[in-house]
Amino acid sequence: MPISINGTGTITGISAGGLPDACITADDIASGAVTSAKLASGAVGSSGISDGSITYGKLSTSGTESDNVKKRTAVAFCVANNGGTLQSGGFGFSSVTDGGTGLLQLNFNFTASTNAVAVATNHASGAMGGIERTGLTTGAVTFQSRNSGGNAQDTNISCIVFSE
Amino acid sequence: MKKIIYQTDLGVAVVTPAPWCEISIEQVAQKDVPAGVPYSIVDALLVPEDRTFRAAWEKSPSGIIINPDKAKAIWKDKWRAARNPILASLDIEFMKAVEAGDSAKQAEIAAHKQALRDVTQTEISGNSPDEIKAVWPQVLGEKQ
Repeated sequence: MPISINGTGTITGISAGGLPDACITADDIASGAVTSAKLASGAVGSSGISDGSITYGKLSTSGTESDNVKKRTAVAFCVANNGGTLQSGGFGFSSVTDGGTGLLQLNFNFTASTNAVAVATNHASGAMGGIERTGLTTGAVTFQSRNSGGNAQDTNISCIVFSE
Repeated sequence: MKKIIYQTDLGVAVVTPAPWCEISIEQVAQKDVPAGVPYSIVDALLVPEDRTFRAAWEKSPSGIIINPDKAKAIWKDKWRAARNPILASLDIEFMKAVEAGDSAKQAEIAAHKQALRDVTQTEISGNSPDEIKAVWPQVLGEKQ
């Protein structure tokens, strides 16, 4: 087809293969012109995704069980010392409340769902009776640790929380 | 470093912000202290490191104080815990003395057991945590 420059300001007769390689640069593409519908299936591979670009907010909350990614992702983790402090490296908590011997309340920095799950284990080397989860709200989870005699006892705990 | 303290039914609660927390301690207090409960923001140095008398902590205008009466009760509970295995051991020794018909030994053990039962009547005169912890009746053996 011959190339025609029309009086209306349009050019016809140009096919994709008719353009020299690399003649269309990113600057020539209108902002917002490339939509997801124009991408071929599988066009963006994992190498095309920037490191750190997929955030928690982009994970699926699909009602279809097998598609719900957030359900399988921890929203909070911490190691709490028996003195009522949190070790570095955790996330998802704003603070810890030392409520008494062996009584630690871990306060979320988000609003958990009403069916959230929180579990903890202790770091004690001596005889521990266990850790009881005494409370779980949308704002915090509380654990009471006891010794083998059933009495309250301080201990370090690790806690992990799942919530949609 | 600052901490938040407030009174609870169990004593005093101490709130420590997470190392990664990006909001101010005032905002943590607003969020993590129960609504309507008065609280204070204090220097972390005003919170005792020794947790022996944790259940005796009370909130004061200057930070946290240790209630001496509660601390003494806690310390005497440690005495009770320390004497229990000794009493159990003496029960066995007493039965052996009964089987052997050794009345002198029985009397000696009975006196030892009575001294253990009376141990909680021992006076603790001091009121500071160190003074309270310094009192450990000899009948209880090595300090625990």
